Amino acid sequence: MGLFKKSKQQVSETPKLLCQSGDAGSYKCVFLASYRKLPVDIEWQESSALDEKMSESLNMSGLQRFPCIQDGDFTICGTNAVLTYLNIKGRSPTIHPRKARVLAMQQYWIQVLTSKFVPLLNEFSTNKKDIASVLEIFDKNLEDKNYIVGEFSLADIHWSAEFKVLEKEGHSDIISSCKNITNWLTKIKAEIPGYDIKNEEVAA
Amino acid sequence: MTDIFDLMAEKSGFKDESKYGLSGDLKKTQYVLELIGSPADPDTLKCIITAAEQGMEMNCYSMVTDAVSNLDECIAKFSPFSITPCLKEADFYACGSDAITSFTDARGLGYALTPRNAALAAMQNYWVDIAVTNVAPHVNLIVNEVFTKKYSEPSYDSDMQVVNACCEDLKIFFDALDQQLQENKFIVCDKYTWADLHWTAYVHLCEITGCNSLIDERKNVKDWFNRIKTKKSQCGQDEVAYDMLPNADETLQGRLKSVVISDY
Repeated sequence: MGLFKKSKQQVSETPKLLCQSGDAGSYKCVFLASYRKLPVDIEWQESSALDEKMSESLNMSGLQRFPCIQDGDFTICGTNAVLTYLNIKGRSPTIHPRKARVLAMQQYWIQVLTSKFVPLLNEFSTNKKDIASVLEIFDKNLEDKNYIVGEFSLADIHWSAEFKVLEKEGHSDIISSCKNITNWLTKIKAEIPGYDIKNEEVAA
Repeated sequence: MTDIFDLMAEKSGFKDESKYGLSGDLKKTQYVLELIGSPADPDTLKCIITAAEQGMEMNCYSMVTDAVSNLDECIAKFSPFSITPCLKEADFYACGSDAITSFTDARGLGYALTPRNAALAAMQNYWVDIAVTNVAPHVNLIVNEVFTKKYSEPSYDSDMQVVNACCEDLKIFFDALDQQLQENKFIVCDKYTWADLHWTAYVHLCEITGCNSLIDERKNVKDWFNRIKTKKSQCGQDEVAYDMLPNADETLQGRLKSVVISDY
């Protein structure tokens, strides 16, 4: 074997990203892979057999987390774990604000999404007024900004994935009165090649 | 208009002119951080541990003992969604533990807590996810019974049925942690990561609420927790981050300890 020739085992396969349609966490990972131009094979599944297997090895069951990534002999499940993996893998720069204050704002807006906005979506029609209140503040934050924290960050990935779910469920009219959100989302859709992806792979 | 941090600093005794840390003062190359939080809140504890691990001084004001009359209203001015804990550094405010811990980690003197290796970093966040998604709801219920309800009603008797049921529900996750710690010094590898920091907050609260059997009955968890209790801070200073956490008595009284770095 030549000095630089790879053996068959060393030839790396494209990582497999197992997603669930309608799951915001899955869209987040697809968007990140797409934005960073990471080649991944996407499979859309109904139940997370891979997470079940992983959880069982730790004697936990029923966690049913999506998405999962399988890269060679490495497997991990759960949105944040997979996002972290996809953000470090590959050669393109990671999406990580250099300034501490910008980083803090990124995390703040992600927490607003997960702890204040997403719980309201479980009963959409009942919470319509509260959803509109959160969006009003979010819209105000986007005034004179291209992105949520000024530069493209994971906050944009998180929020746009949630809006993708809202669109899919027929609630896209909720942002019609929010001018800044509408403009921001149009920009994000243009910048994330995988925004409209339904299946198959995100090309490198 | 008076800043809520100034009001709470005054109430907690930090406004004493002889004390270091008034707005804008510098020690070495850093601003002193100010934190508003609660001793019974795991998110507040995570912020304190991060500051201590990264060698950042942090004046901590308790929402229980240092509260002012219009606290919620004041917090809403810089935290419109009322997300707490809240941090102030000079003219900058950050709210929520994710924002504060990331900020402190980036500002701090030590190495960043996230591993550079993609698989380890992902594994770290897998365990953070379990802590935040699966463990936190049970721990919060226990803490609510043992501490939080007593803040407003000191004669309140904790409902032990709730506490015991939560301890029972937590067993599966502590078993998983015990298994994970079989081969590693810390949760993900032999280095301290965010996974250890998150779990420290929850395991500490389990211990001080009397659910110590969750720790004592699992050798690997017990050994890991003992390591955490004696581990020198990440930034290399001669401080133990765990010592900055409020103990059971302090938590019951609603008191927070500030992060003081004496080893410069």
